[in-house]
Amino acid sequence: MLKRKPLTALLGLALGVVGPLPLLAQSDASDSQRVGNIQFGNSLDPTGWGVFATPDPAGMSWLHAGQLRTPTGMLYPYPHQIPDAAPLGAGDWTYTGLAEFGYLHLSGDRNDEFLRMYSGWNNGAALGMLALSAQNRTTGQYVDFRGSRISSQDQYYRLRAGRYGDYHIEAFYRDIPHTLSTTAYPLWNGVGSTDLTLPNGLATGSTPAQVQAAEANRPRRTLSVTRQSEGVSWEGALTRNWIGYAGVTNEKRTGDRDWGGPMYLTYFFVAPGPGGPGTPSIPGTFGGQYDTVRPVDFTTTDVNLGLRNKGGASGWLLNFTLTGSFFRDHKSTLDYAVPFAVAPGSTSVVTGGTWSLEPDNNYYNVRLEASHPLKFWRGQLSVSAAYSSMRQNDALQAPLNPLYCPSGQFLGTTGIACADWNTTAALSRQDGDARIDSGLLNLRVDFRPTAKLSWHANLRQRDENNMTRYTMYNPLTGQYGYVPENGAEPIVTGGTELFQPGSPLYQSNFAQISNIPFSYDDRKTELGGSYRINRNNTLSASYLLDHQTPHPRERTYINDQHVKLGWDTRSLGNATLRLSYEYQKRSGGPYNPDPYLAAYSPSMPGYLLPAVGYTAFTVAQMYKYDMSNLEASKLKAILTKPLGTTATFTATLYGNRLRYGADIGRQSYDTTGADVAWDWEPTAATSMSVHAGIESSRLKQGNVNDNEALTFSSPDQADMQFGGPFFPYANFWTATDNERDVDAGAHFNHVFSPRVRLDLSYDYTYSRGLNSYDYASLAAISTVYRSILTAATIGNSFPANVYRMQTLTANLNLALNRRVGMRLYGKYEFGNHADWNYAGFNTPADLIVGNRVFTELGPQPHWHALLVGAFVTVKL
Amino acid sequence: MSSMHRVLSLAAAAVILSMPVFSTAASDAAATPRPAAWTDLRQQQPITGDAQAGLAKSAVCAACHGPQGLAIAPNFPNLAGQSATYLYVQLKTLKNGQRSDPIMGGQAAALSDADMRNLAAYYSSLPPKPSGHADAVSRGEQIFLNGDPTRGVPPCQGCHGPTGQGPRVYSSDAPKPPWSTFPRLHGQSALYVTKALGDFSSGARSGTSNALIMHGVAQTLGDADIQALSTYIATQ
Repeated sequence: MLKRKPLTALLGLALGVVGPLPLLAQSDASDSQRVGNIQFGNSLDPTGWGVFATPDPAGMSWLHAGQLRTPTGMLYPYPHQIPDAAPLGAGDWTYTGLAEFGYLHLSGDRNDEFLRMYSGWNNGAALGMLALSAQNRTTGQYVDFRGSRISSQDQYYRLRAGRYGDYHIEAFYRDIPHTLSTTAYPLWNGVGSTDLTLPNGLATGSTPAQVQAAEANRPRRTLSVTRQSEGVSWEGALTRNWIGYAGVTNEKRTGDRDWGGPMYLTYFFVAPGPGGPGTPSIPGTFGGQYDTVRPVDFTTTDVNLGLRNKGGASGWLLNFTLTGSFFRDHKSTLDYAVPFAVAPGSTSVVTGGTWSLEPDNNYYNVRLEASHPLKFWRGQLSVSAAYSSMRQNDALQAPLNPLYCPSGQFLGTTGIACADWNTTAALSRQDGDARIDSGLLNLRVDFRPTAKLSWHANLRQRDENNMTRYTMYNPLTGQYGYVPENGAEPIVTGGTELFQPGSPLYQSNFAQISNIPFSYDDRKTELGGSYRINRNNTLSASYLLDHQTPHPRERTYINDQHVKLGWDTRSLGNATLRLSYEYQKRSGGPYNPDPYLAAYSPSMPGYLLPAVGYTAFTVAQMYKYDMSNLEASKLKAILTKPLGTTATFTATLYGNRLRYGADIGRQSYDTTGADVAWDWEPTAATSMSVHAGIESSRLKQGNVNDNEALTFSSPDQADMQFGGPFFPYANFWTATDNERDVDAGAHFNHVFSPRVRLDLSYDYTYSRGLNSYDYASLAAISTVYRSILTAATIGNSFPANVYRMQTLTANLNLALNRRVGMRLYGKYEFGNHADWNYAGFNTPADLIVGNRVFTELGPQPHWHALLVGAFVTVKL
Repeated sequence: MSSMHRVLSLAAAAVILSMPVFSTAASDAAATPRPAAWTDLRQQQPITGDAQAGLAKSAVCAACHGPQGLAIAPNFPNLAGQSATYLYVQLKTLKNGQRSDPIMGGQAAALSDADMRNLAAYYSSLPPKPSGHADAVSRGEQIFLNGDPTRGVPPCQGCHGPTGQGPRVYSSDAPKPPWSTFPRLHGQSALYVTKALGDFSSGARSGTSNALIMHGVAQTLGDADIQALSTYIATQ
């Protein structure tokens, strides 16, 4: 005991704690931390309290042996043992402490993407857990510290202190890794910065062979993002009934990730490639398509401030909260030089592109929640009201970058001068000035007039107003619209994306001239209740009308009606069966397939309709899935069957059938799934569970290829009707996404003796996705591909995408004496992966396909990895 | 898929079939990380014994607890009509030291397990003290029957019965309390009840799972409550 005190005191001083604490609690989710980060753990111990999770043979009650069950029949788990506390000093403080440190070794496919996705595994020393807790049973004061470190990108530390019933403070720091690719071979130099430059020897105008030669020698990189966050929070009793709370967290995300890089006209196949029909010729001309790498350098600061009343003489329960979230992007642009010329042999000057990355933005929210008992029918009135505002006002960027389109040059032969578009003088204003406000009011009454009957009514109104208005007007040229894809598109199309009244060249162009400020109002009215027929049966029912008035959208209003029925019964012996059924029907006002004309040039004065009209915006029968009619049925059955006093069997079966009222657009979405589980906990020393689940889904959608022969050449191009000349039935096609997911696992925990504890787990995850398609005729295929494809090469599906992972985990805890123990950890993970998007990517040179530049080879088709660790556990 | 399902099924079956081995190992090892400082009565079954043999052994006991199990002085408990299992558990914990008493510790030390069962059976068979006339509107009655929910005081009758003559057993699918180990309280002297509650509260008497229950209960009681309860129980 005497030996322990100095060590604990030293650690306490090092951590800035006055005296250490107790709470090696079972759960971290219930505290006053109100801004995220409520769960601390890592891949070594996802729960964050694994070293303390020793079931207490005393069980949950001195009154009876065995565990009770929840109302639906699930066994409550054994509570965890409270660690032995030792006196701290001469006062009333006691403390517990534990340190677990050791070595981790990883072998096999150490760089596999899935293995590293959220884990910062390294060969080397690791701190499994450092936990110190102290409490004063007389005053109710406590201090608790917990930390774990796998590597510098994967660690957390948290300090809590307070006094029960009085105040609670908390501070934390954590790093969470997120690996996105371990097989990236970016073509560019400067990855991670805002300026991607071509490697030596490459310049705009290179041939695919030259680019491929350069790519073959690029080094492998790992693309990842680390989330580093820290925060403090406080909650305390201000008066007998008022509680105040405040918190601030700061999260910094740094790293890099895959990004895009358009440069117009990637595909233009005029003949089959050397492999015959079905293989592209890959001419490698025009600007191309680029898989770039962007930097991630964000900071999000969340601030939370509130007051809560736990019920004064008036009986009101109140909660008033102010929230602010402030996002800052420290790298606001990404420049990338391109190796291919936009138009071979032309006078193109575009040598690269620029991305505008996410703007800084702020979010504010004020919220009041209140409830009060009613004097009749044992009722309760609940009211909540909130107002929020999202705003960003970053400086806008020029449409073109003078680095890649210098003043004095022109975009091909279009006559469009770079100087007219490569400064912010080309914009109608200099800042974003974007704002979306929303208001919420929710009124609810709950009544329980008798012990058997309860019912409620709820009215919720939420309105969102997008106040952002931006007109794409260039005061230098008097033109509306913009020059897409870094100026590459106008070089090929001749500037058809620009509109200018009175200009013979631009007065008939169909161009977007402003943003579309999507807004909506939403009112939900619900009435529901439940009735307990007898001791074993309860019926419930509810009706919800969701009335939405979005604008500008395809329908002026949507009525979404939901009827839910439920039956909970225990009339099947000691089993509990819960059945629920929901019927949903959505309808609305007349469907307008093109409600956005106000944002396009035909709405402008001076627009001159071309002789052939303008191309149909879309097919009239295309219903967007959130706006189309819908009839849905959802059925779910959950059976919970106690097996004796120590085991439980549960089975869940569910099915959803959604039918959309559309041939063009989403047609149907069906989901069917089942889960079974068996849990057994005969004593505190042994527990075992086996579970398996399967879900299959089928999403079907239809569409129609436009008759490209009529585009820009016939008045029929404006005909929006399905079955008309521009959208003929022969061009109809459907696509079906079939998904099947399986998960299964078995977990076994056993205490062989007070000195030996073993935990074994096996987890299996499988996912298979198949995209199949059908079409009325080959006319459904775009003319760009028609010359290289036949019905035989098209087939009826893409190859299946498969993901399978199996993990075996073992933990063996050996107590050497009362203070010192060992933990041996082993994890064997293996799996396979197939994704046709990465098909053919075996070496870096494969990443150059004609005028397309890709960055990553994709996850390994097969991988296996073994992680072993040995830790010493010392109770301080 | 099908092959994977077969592998999974076989693996699950193999693990399930091996469970009895693990289960036996678990019970053999007692699976208790710390040595028990108390006797777990939660699965205690009612005991049996030979009352006649107990009578033969009771001469020494009668010196304090009376020839008919009714104590000769208020600092000794009445044993007549008491739960046999309760009496057996007390003797056993007095013998193994989990209950501490300078006199009874020595007396129990010499008893065999059979002696303790027989003595318990004998005193259990004796007629209990006749019911008294407890004050039906007293604070003690209030606590005994209803507890004091505002202060976390549970009603005594939940385990000791509405008249203090033993618990009222009810049927349930849930795990059952060890009814036979709960003592009958009615007619015990106020002095004895006061001392017992004090010992429970201080932890001096904490050698069984039942005593741990009473530790929590007694700590919710103030001195006035204990006095009121003791008086009420003595007159039951």
